[in-house]
Amino acid sequence: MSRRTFGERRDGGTRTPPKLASWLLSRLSAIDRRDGLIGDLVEEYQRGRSGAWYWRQTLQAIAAAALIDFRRRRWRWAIRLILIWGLLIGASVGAKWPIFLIALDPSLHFLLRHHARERPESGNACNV
Amino acid sequence: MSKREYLGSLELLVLLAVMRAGRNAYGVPIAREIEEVSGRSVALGSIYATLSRLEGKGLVASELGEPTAERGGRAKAYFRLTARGLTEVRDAQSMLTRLWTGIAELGGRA
Repeated sequence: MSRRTFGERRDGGTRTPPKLASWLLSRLSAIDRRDGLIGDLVEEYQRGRSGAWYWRQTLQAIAAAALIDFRRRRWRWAIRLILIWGLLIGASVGAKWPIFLIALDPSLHFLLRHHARERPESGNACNV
Repeated sequence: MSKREYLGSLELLVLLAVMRAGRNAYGVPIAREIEEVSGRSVALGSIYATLSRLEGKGLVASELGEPTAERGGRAKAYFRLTARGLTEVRDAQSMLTRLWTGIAELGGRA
C-alpha cells in the first residue's frame, strides 16, 4: 500500500487531496482564476501525483499569492511590518499588551473573509 | 510619454507556452510546455500568478470551460493571447534577436 501524506484520503477509486491544503488554496483571492488553479492541481493529483507534491504546489501558490498581494497592497504589508516590530519590541521589554496588536493584522481577515467571486470572462481575445 | 514595461523572463515563457498549447492552453498544458522545452519545472501557482499579471496588462484573455468531476467540479480556465500580447511577444523576439546578434561567445555575427 502506498504511503499517504497528511490529509490524503481515498474514497473507492477516487483520491481526495489533502483537505487542509485545499482549504488554504481556496483562500487565495489574490490569484485570479483561483478555481482553475485548484482544478488543475486536483486533476494532476488524480493522475497520480503525490500528496507531498500537492502540498508543495499549495505552499508555492501561497507564496505567489503573497507576492501579488504585496504588490497590490503595499500599505497593508507596511502595517504588518509595524505590528511585527511592535510585538518584538514589546516582547523584548517583557510587556504583555503588544499581543493585542495581532488583532489588528490585516492577514486575519484573509482567514475569515468569504471567498472572492471569480472574475467574469475577459474579452478581446484573438485567435492566435 | 508612459514608461514602457518589458516582459519578465517568466512572463515571456508563459506567453510562448500559451501560444504553443493552442486551444488547450490551461494551467497543466502550459506548465508541461515550459517543462518540456526549457527543462525547468514551474509551480502551477506561479504560472497562474503570471497569467493574472498578464491578463491585467491586457496581454492574455481567459474563458472558463465546463466543470468536470475529475477536477473536483471545477472548470478549466483557458487562456489566449490578445492582439496586444502577440505584439509584445514579437517585439521581445525582435529585441532579443538584435541583442544576441554579434556576440562572439554565442556564435553570433555582427
